[in-house]
Formats: sequence, C-alpha cells, structure tokens
Amino acid sequence: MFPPTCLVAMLCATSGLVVQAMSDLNSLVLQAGRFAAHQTAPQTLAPELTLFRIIGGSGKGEATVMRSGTDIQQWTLEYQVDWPAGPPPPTALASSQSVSIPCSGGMFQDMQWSPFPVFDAKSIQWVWLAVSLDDAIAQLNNLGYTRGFSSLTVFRPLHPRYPDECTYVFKCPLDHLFVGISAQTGKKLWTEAFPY
Amino acid sequence: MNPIKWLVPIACVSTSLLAQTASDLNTLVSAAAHYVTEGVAGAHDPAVLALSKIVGNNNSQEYLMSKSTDVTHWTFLYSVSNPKTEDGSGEAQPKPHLSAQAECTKGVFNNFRYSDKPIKNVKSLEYTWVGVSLDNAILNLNANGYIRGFSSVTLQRPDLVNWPDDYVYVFTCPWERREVAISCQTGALTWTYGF
Repeated sequence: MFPPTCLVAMLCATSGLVVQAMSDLNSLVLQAGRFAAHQTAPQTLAPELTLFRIIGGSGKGEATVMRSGTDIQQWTLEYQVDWPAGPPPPTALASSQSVSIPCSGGMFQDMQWSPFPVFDAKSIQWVWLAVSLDDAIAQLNNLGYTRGFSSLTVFRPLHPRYPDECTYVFKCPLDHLFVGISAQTGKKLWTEAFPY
Repeated sequence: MNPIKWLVPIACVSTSLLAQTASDLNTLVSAAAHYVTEGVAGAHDPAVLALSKIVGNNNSQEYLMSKSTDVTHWTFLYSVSNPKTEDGSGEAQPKPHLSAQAECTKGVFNNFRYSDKPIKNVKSLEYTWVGVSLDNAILNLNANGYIRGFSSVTLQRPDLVNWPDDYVYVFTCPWERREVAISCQTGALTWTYGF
C-alpha cells in the first residue's frame, strides 16, 4: 500500500520544485513589443526597434542576490533605434540610437530614449528561448553556482571569443564570475571573471 | 518494501500534474486583444479599449475548481475611451460606451459587447506581463492552506486605499469564505479578504 504520508511529501516536493516557475520570457518580449508599438504610434515617423538585450534585476540594487526567476522584479528590454530613411524626424528623439523599456512588477513603463547605440551584441529580435529561466537557474545551480546572482542578461554576444548563441548570462557576485548558459540547450557555454 | 511500488504512483501523480498545465496567460491576453481590436471592435468603432480585469470560472458548473484547466470560461473587461467625442472634433454620440467585454469559452472567443457601466476600483492591465503562471499561483494558494477549491479567479490591480498596488490573482474560496490574492509577479500571498 502506498503510504499517504509519502504521497503528501512527494506532492510537497513537487510543488516546491514548480511553485516558483515563472511564465515564459518569450511572452515578456511579445508584450514589450506591443507596448513599444503603442508608445511609438503617435509619432509622425515611427522608428524601427530591434531587440538586443533583456536585463533582469531585483529592483533593489546590485547588492541584492537573487536565486529564482520570480526574484527578478525589474526587467529592462533594450532596443536599437533605426529611423526611417528621409529627413530626420522633427523631434528631440531624432538623435536617439537606442531605447529601453522598463517592466517593473509586471507593469510596463515609459520608454527611455538614449543617444548611445547598443554595443557588443547581436539582434535577438527574432529568437525564441527554448530553455526557461527557471531551468537555466537550475542548471546554474547544478554547475555549482549556488550562491545566487545579482543580475541576468539575455543576449547574443558579438565578440568572436564567445559562441554566437542566445545566452542567459548570470552575474554571480560571490563567485566573481559571469556564467553564460545557452538559451537553447541549457548547457554552460562559458564563464568569465570580473574584477574584485 | 519494494521501492518500485512507490515510484509508479509518484510518476502517475507527477504526470497528471504536468499534463494539465495551462498555457501562459500572457498569450491568452494577446489573443483577446487580437480578437477585440481586429476581430470585432476595431473595424467599425473608434473607441479605444484598455484591459481592466480578467475573470475566469468554469461556466457556472457546480463544482469548485482546483487547477488551471478547470477554468474553461474567461471574461475580459475593458474600459473604453471614445477619442472622437472626448476632443469634440467628431460627431456627438448619444451615450458613449464606458466599458466593453469579451468572453472566451473553451478557447473560443465570442460575445463581444459594449456597456454603459464603468469598471471601478481597478487600474489598467493593458500593458502588463504575468510573471507567475496560473498553475503556480494555484500551487501557492494550496501551499497557504486554501486547498478546497475556488469558484472564480480574477486578475486585477486594485485601485483602493490601503490595498497594495500589485498585479494579483484573486481566488474566491467559498469554503473559507475568503478572497485570496496571490501576486502575479512573485507568487506570494499578498492579501486575503473575508466575505
């Protein structure tokens, strides 16, 4: 006979594993795209936006260490701005080369325009993340980086030193390492130390 | 005791839990937006719709719900702004719409209609993202002791004094006579309210 206590314990363990799973980051990108289209629609010449980075933080500063997907409460999606050909738009935004969209506590906020271009990354405008954030974090832990991360960036590195893959990059302050995990296979791609 | 005998039911329970996971609610919201703006409303009406509330139930079935796929009937409530009448440049309308709603029954969107009643005490959900899936929110509901099922679930951002401005799942738990709010971003229990 199957002991009910064991069943309960197993259910609790199962719940513990999945209770913190978060929604698909692909849908975050889609929702951000809808928001961006809404924000740029009133402009006479709407720019073309290309997603380059997704950055996640706790919203409580770099000192806060996170351990699960739902610890990330502040998302920022960084886009390259391409203005349509022809005369420059007659607005102060005309010199903008990038724009970021914050999403805090699940709510998208006004776009932040910047005159600086995005750098060191390739477009992730048309990608799909096969490995969920929670699975990537589980893999990070499996690799021994169990002391948490202070930020997460999803991007495709431009530098030839790194493989050209859409990558979850975890900043692990207690290990003094950036850890790159493939968003397609979940495998570790690289690590890189950062200064003390 | 043979450990294999333990593993079989464990596998069955795990499989049944995972097999019934609902799709991401963000995609449901996107599909609803597609339906109301391009399918029924946008083609012939200048009104602008902003999502205000999402209500899920099991279409008046008598049993309580305990998992996401029990929720077979969704209602999307939108606040309506009528730009042409508000700025005075368009034709006056006898009575501008204040809200609208659409339904999704067993995955099929239908029954779009306008209403003259405003939607009160909530903030807009139009540009938001649900971080915690419905299944995980239900697991957290259970983990907090509310295990006897819920009769409806509402996604909303309360706009009331003394209520936290959090995007929450609000489960109506008739046995406990409480509404229980679980954060859409952290999965944590945010508040409960007796009824």
